[in-house]
Amino acid sequence: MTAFAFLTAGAGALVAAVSALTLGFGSLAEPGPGFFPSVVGVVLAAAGARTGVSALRRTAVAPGTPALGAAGVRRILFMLASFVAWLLLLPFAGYVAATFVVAIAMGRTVGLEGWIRPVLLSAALAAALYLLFDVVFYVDLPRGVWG
Amino acid sequence: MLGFEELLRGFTIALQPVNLLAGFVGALVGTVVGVMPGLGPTAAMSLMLPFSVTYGPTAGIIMLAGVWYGAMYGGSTTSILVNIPGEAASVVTCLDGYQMARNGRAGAALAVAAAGSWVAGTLGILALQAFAPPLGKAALRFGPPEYLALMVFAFVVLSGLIGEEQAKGVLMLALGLFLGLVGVDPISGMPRFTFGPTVLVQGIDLLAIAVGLFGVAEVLGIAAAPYRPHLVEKVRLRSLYPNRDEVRRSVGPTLRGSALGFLMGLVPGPAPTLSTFIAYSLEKRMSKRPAEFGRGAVEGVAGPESALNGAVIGSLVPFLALGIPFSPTAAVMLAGLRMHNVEAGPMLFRNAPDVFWGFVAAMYLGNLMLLVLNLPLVGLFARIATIRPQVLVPVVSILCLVGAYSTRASVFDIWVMLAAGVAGFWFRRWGFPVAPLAIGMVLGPMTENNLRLTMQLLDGDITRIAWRPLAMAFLVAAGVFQVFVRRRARLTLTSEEKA
Repeated sequence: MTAFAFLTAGAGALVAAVSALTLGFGSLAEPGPGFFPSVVGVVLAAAGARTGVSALRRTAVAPGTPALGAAGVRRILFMLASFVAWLLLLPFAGYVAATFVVAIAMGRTVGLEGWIRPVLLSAALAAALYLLFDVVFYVDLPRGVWG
Repeated sequence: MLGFEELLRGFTIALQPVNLLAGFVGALVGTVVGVMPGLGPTAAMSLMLPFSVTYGPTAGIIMLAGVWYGAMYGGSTTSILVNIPGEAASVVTCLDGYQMARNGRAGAALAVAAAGSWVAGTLGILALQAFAPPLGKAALRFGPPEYLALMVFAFVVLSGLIGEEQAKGVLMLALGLFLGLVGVDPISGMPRFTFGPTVLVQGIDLLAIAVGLFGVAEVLGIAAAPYRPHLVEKVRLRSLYPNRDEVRRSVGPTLRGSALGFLMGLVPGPAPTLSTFIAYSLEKRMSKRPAEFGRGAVEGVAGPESALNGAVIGSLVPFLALGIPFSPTAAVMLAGLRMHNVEAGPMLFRNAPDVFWGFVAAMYLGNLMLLVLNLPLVGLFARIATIRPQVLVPVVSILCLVGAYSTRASVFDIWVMLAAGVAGFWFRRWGFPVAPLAIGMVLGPMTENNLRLTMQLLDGDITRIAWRPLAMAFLVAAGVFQVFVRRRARLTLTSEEKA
């Protein structure tokens, strides 16, 4: 967290400098496109530095937060991988098939036992989405090879 | 009186099948969302936007308000039956509501909560109907300095009240303001922070950010935590009626809570959550039997529940009349209206009176629908609260993916959502409040516009703002808040949380 705070402080300073120099600060009476961004950048830098300094003195994690643990980290990474997989499958497989496959993976990741339950859940979810988007609301989602 | 004729016309609008259906669907989805851990009203409303767009602005805003409102009802159900607050605003209801349930008075607690919500909601809409149009008319005379000062006031309150440290709130707010800036500067037409002619030229979508911060981040949190089963208190419909003593003891807290909540809702900040804490300590202080609090005092359910609904309605007043959203939920509603080129604010009453009055009438109806919907179906909703995270996580994740994509049909938005989700997960662990980020994103462009115009108007000398009494009043209020109120308000918030 300390790193994040100081990083934002640096980024804020950078934003302020870039906006003032390249976007055009204008004058106080005629503010240019860089005027407000540099104000925001300065505030960001100050707040980042302030949180960073106070984080140095205290524990980073908010009180009462359970520890993450190796298993927790693994589950989060698996979840993120599933999200990205849906995104990559979308253009080829279409949203129904992508949902079916990815939801199984997600169910397994968070500990849905066996294969029958996650498969049933995914099938129900994909069918519900199809009904909702294709039949009731006509929201256009990519269908992939299914046309 | 109170725009009675307009209200009648509003009812003819709200009773149109499309709008009625929109209200019903919104209320139902909202209740489910409120009951379900892992998906709050902000994320749910963002996900509903593509649907709400289909049927015009009135149906859209009715549906979104129904979700918001339903979530508040649903949140109390799980607090009472399962001791899980579905929303942050329902934490207080757990204290006495769950104890009542353990004493075998679950039905009475639910009925008191629902009735209190209904009374507060109805009184709140009455007040909204009375106050919003005149406030809107008064706001027509606001110039850029007044708006700028009002936003400064909002920023001070927002960053000061949410989270444990003001610097963290300011950081999130500034980050939001910055994200709102990315894209083409509307005045000079110059692209800013887009790294050349990339997708960023169109700006970063608030909805993708909201779904990430309030949906994906929650899902990741649930997935990371070990699973613990919950016990549900059984409710029979027969036991729904509170006895005479419980009714008598709830009247005062309900009325006090309604008024307190509505007034707090008018002020920017996390009014709904905060008002429940304040109502609780108020009732405890006023009670002749303070020792009963925490052991199942009916006042401890009636007061906060009414305050919560009063605050939700109250916070709609500045949103509708001034066009400034002070909460992430209001920000999403603003985005929904903008998709129809309807702008909330002073001009709403003149340009789109049908939207406003149809909305007001729909709120009366929706409130009634929720009361009718919630009492008989309470057992079903309670079961939703105990859905295992193993089932919840895949469903909510897929909804987030589909929802973020379908708003603009953009794959880029999904990446934005994922990034916001990961960031939001860590923000929560580090104690950074995420609400100011979402609000900052919406207020960024408004703030910049008003700042530029103010500087031009005052010839670059910001001290001349002292000659604008109203703007000065907002700035003084911000100063007073920062120096006197902030610390005390935060103290009550944290000490009640620990209790």
